[in-house]
Amino acid sequence: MVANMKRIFALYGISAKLDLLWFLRDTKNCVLNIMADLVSSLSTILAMFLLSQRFDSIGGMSSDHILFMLGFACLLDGLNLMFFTMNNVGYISRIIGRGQLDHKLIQPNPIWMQLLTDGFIPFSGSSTFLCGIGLIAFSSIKLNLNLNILDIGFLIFYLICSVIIIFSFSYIFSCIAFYAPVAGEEVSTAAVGLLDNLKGFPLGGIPYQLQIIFTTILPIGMTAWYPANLLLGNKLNFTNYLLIIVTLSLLLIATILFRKGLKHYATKGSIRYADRGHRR
Amino acid sequence: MQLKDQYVMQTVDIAVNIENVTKEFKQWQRGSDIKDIVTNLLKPKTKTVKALNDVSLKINKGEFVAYAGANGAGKSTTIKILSGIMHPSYGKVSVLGLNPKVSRIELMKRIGVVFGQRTELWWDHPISASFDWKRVAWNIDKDQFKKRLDKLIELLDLSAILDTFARELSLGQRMRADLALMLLHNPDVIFLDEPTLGLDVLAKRHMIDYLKKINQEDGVTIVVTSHDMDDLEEMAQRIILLSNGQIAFDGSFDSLREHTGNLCRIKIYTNNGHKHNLKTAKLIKSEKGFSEYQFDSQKNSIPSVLNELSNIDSIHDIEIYKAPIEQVIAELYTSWK
Repeated sequence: MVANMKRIFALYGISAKLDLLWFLRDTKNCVLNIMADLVSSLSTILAMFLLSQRFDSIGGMSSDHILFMLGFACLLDGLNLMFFTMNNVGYISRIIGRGQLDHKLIQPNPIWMQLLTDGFIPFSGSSTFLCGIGLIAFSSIKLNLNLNILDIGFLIFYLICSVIIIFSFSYIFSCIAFYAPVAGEEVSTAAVGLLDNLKGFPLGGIPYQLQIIFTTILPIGMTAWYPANLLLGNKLNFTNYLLIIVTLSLLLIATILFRKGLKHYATKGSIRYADRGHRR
Repeated sequence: MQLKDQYVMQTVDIAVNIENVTKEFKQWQRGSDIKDIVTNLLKPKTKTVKALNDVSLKINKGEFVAYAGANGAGKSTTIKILSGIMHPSYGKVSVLGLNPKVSRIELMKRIGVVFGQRTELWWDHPISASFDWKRVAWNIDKDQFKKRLDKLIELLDLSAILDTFARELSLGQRMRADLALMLLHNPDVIFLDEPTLGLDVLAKRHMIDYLKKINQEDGVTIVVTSHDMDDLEEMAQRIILLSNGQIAFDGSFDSLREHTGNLCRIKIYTNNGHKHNLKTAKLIKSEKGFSEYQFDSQKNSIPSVLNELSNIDSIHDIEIYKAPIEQVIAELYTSWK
């Protein structure tokens, strides 16, 4: 356990170093990249922000509550960007489908450890996260929230749960790439895009049955709406443990499917073009 | 007790042990007629292809082995199985006494793999950054890493390209950098899948010289695949030839030549440029001023060929040499079809 933690921190360290070197070496392009990420992240939440300003309240949430929720969504985006975007770690279908798992299999570290650390870019990938902190702080002031250590602890915990949900959801669909590489890439990109584009949508105004679907099978509500409401102390029609239940369930399903897929990969190899008559 | 000791002795000396390994793949068989649409959709036909068919071999520590075969013979599949990327359908594999399927992580600390068509270098970073990454990923001691890196930089002539991005390197430079990256953790066994592919003469020369050096001086076990038989002959002491997933030949290059009939070639230069038909040798090429013949020295001895040639007055020069190994193997491949 201790040895694994040491390895993880060492690998985070080298990923961070490579990122810093890029920033120092190619500052102009790196800054442009940071700005592009920021604009892209803000654009996904801006529409909901403008609507909340126009109508003051949507789905049972005031505009300030929505701003807080969007801040949570922004933090979540930032974490994903910082930890899982680089080297396609969060889009594992691209690694699987293009036969790049071979590179991971010849390294003397467990695959899970490599996936956890290979995408870490704390310098070029922190803009959205910092923006999220700003939004959370600003909305907290507007809402007169006095966030204590416990609240911040819950905020971090819920963020970790939401990151795991997005990561697991992506991996569940990405595992299709083990069997149908091209289709797997397309499907998983669309699946991740679904969560990404709808994460800032307040689900309070939709029927209960749909809320259940959007918090479990298609966990859009678990990426911002549900955890933000828990933090704000708003009453929801669900158990307070739903976030943990969904997180653990999706993680379990993703782990089982990935392990099964990895076994298939070791048996069949990369089959990107096999279904079209090409060799491996 | 004695049996156990003997067993330990055997395993200690063996670097690679493959026992009755078979690797099967399924291939879709789809007809292109309209009537086949339903069959393709509901019950597509598949054909089982055996990339490796009951292959058994042992490679001792310190050996330099060429692993060759025509396209689709099963070379890359073997390398992938040995390095734990793929698992065999049947049979047992061990590398340095470890099962790649079970002990992948432990094994990766002790072996190195290079796929000539791929790179392990970080594409958008200078190669020095890739070396640094390797130190952390393989958890190599800092002092040992520095010593080894300095040695590799000198031997593989990398100093001029240390700060160059991997994507900006020529193929030869990239291969040298990939080789250095692979050797940084001081592996006991290395697998090279077509490392000389696409390299120019000088780059190839560098690579061959270096591989021979680490094999002879450091005792590193090397298994190399390539389609360039002349390169393989220069590097390796032993050649294993695969054909249709089975070992068709396993031995030295000399015994391969004997096995295929000790083919020799003779080139004669004449004053008039006429070509002559010989009883003891077969004419394979005739150009301005010279003719080239091939003969099997086991069937027709060199003196008998020379004796026949002595009847031709216009000869002013003769060259006799062994047929290129490429030729020997090409004839084998043809005979296997």
